[in-house]
Amino acid sequence: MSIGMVLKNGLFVVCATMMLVILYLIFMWVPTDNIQGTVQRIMYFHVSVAWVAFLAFFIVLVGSVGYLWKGTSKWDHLAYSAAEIGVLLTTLLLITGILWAKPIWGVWWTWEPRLTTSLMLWLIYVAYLMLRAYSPPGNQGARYAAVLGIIGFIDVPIVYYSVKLWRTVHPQVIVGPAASGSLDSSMRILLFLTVATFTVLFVYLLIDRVSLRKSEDEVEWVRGIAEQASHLPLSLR
Amino acid sequence: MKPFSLKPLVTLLVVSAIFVSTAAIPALAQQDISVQVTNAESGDTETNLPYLFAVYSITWIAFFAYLYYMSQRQRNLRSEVEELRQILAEKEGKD
Repeated sequence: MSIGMVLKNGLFVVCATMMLVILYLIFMWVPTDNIQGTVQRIMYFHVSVAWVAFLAFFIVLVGSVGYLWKGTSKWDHLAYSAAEIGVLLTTLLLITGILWAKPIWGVWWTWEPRLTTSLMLWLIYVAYLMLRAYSPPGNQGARYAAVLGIIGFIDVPIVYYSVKLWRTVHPQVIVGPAASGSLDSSMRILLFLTVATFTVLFVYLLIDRVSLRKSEDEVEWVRGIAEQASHLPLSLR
Repeated sequence: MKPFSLKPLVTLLVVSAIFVSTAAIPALAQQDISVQVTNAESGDTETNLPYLFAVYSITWIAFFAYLYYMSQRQRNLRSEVEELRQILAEKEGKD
């Protein structure tokens, strides 16, 4: 077994163990919020998913800048893979938010700044994936997507600071440089552990997706060469 | 096959660690305000349980579905490589 596989499997074991530990802590150890009740436990997954989604879009930014600067496909693979996982995480962010909002606010959705900018973030990166899916093979689609990946990241700090910039019903920021909301110390420790666990999960998924993307690219390249050699399109699934 | 390079993995882990620290340090440095907290025993833990259940199950289903999607893609790629190999072998045989 190669070092890469050992590391990947090791990361999976670490991630699975951490997940079991945080699930135990979320349901058995941490105290219940006396205002929101048990539904407040949604916060651990909701905030972690949000933070890791921001990390994913930061990696899209890094990959996009790297691709435009160096022009090598490994940066593009990194950006594309991070965008795909970022969209999955933002989808979960919106769903978990909606499921928290209904019992707490009494509505599934309201057009307040945090929710609206988060939805915009999701739409931007869905557009990124659509651009990749519908652009012709070659460098052009990757270049356009890289520009979108860089511009799209502008929305991340807007989402993060939206509760500070505008009047909003969303709870205050409890994670990161603008943190001002109050949390019990045990809740804070658990939230940190959950963020760390989701980060490990994200790294695992990203390694897997980048490797898959690289293989897809290589197969595409071999198919192109084979088609050139035969002067006929090869009918593959 | 290219040798596996640890550099990107280490870089990714370092970037992630910095990102997590950015999230954690200001939160851990806060004052211990436990105004909103009560013990699990005295809280109404039965309220809104379906929402909690929905969040945790949807999150898990989504992650497993994504892993399944990636494994399917991997399987398709493998069969595509096999097909390409056969086509090229047939062409070489004809030439």
